Amino acid sequence: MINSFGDPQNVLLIGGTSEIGLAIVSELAESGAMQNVVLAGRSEIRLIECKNELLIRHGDLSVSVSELDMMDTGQIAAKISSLFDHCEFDLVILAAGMLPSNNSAMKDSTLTIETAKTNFLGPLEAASQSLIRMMSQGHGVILNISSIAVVRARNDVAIYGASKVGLDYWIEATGSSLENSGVRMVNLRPGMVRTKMSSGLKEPPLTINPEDVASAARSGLNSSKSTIWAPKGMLIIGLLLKILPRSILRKLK
Amino acid sequence: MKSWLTGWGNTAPGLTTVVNIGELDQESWSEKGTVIARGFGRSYGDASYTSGGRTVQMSGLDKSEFDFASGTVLAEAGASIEQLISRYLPLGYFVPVTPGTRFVSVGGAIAADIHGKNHHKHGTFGLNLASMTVQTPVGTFVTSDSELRELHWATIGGMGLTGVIRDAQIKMSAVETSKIAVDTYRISNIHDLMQKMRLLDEVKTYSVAWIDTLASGDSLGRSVLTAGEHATISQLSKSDQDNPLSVSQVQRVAMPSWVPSKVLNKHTVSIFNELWFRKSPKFRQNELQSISKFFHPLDGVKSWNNVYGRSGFVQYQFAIPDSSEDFVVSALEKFSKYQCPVFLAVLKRFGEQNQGMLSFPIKGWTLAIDVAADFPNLQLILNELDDELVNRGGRIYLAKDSRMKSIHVAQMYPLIEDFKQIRSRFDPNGLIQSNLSRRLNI
Repeated sequence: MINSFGDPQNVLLIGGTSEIGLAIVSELAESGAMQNVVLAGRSEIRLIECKNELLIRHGDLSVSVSELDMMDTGQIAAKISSLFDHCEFDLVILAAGMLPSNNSAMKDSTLTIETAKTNFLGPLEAASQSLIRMMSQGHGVILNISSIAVVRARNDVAIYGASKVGLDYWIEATGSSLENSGVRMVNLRPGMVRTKMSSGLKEPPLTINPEDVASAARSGLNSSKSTIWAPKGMLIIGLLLKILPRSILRKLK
Repeated sequence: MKSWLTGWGNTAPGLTTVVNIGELDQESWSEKGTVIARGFGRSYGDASYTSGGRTVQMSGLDKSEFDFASGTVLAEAGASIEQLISRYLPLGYFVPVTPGTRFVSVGGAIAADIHGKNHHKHGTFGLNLASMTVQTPVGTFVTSDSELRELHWATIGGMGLTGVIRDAQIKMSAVETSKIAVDTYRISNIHDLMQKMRLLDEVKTYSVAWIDTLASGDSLGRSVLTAGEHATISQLSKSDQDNPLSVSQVQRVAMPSWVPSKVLNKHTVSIFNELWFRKSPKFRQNELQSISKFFHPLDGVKSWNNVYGRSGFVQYQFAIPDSSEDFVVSALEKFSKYQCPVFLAVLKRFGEQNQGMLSFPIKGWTLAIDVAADFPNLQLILNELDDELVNRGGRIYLAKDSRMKSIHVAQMYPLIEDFKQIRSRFDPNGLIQSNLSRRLNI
């Protein structure tokens, strides 16, 4: 339940080892309102490491871990429901994701489907159940870590982009129907971020750190926006990417 | 009908379905969703509404009847302190306890177990009840200190979480006049103030100090202390003696809702505080003031809470035992250090605690401070204060709270588990919840 300062008290991070997700949790915890955090993800060992790192920075928090695999489509809703049975979440962050090499995915349909489940179907099931519970609570925010990639199809991130597009669209469309519900859904669209997931990739201009994404998330959550760009300038980049003809885009690369 | 509701601080809005008490019969308890009663919404935080559930508007239920034999009033829960004063003061009876505003319902007065300027002598509102009726999911019951006393003392101070209070029998105080004889002192620092207030405990029924929290150093805690007694007929002027119990209608101006939030800043507040402090006499004795002027000065400005603008404000009110009274000084030092533009702060004495499990007053002191909610780092400042408060045996007033941490509740209110057990007997499915109870896991 939010307090008078509007900051979330109870947070569920889906993709509990995500650097961007953890940076957002840490940033929001700075103001002193946050009390309970659940890190939900695939690897219990990694989740516990992330829990301990979070506790070093924010010793007052109560942090627990929960095993949740985005590949387990069909089982995720029940797990989310049971997490909500124990805690009224003010904020659910969808941060689960994988970025496979597109060349590998083109040759491996299992990898393609795994990416679709991890980035789209799994988080969709989690978000859908979170929405149902939040509607019943009468309050809550679902924040989706989306990407600039959703703006325009690009060959080097075909399946990553496709899976991000699906979730982003659902969040935006469903979010626009929530006016009289007390619940809010937000897409956070960063450009390139320096994380383990993107390490080794070329850094375009405007590449930022997870902390910068977190800072943009914090300002965006304090406003009534349904789409947050990180950095802010990404909005212009996004518009340009959308309208420029492919021939020009290829030359710009 | 769904509405966005807040408390008096205009913060943390909750979307809730507002219903009348008539819509809450025994069958409809079992409908899905949480339920909480609401009077005038004068609690500062989120105690009087529940997001996603039903908020029962009680203010229409305002009948009352006076029984001369027992000197008690049987009042429906939606009757206001204002109505009780205007109906019964002309008959020579005053409410036993009044808070700083008259616009509080009888139900709210019991649920928050309100105190006034006379707690050290007369205790809380809940202590002055003969009985009350509480509607719970498992039935409607009449409670008193001798009948279903666990439910009675869980409900007093219980923030509406044991059920919907339907009515109460209130023991009124007999008075000769509608005036208060007031002594005023201008005090130059916190130590002198606290010493004076302790001395006045024995001799004055009502006492309160308004502190300039922007003053620092040797002037930390400079204040205006007022102490009073109900005036006797002989104290009135000759012309007033003909009509000693007259109650005049208070002129009210309205604070507009469009006030920008930076009107109350360090500069404007310090100018106001300086003028107000200087205007007060060094010492004045037996000045006759009306009930409204002495008890309810802010009621003269309707919606005064709008002066804080759209971002609203937070009230930090704590109680601290006598043995930890230096915490009052620490708190004032902290607000002064951070230059929080506090629009006056109020210090009162508390007498003995009653048996209400979540009742706020404990023997010692209470300090109440309003701060604009958008003051930078306010959350962290208040968290620091809470950490120390809890270690010093103090507690935060739940009727004013909008931001404390749930982990502190058990230390502040050691009978919380007893309270929860009684609650679960009368509300086994946990239907009665407010945003406050959900935030604090009560």
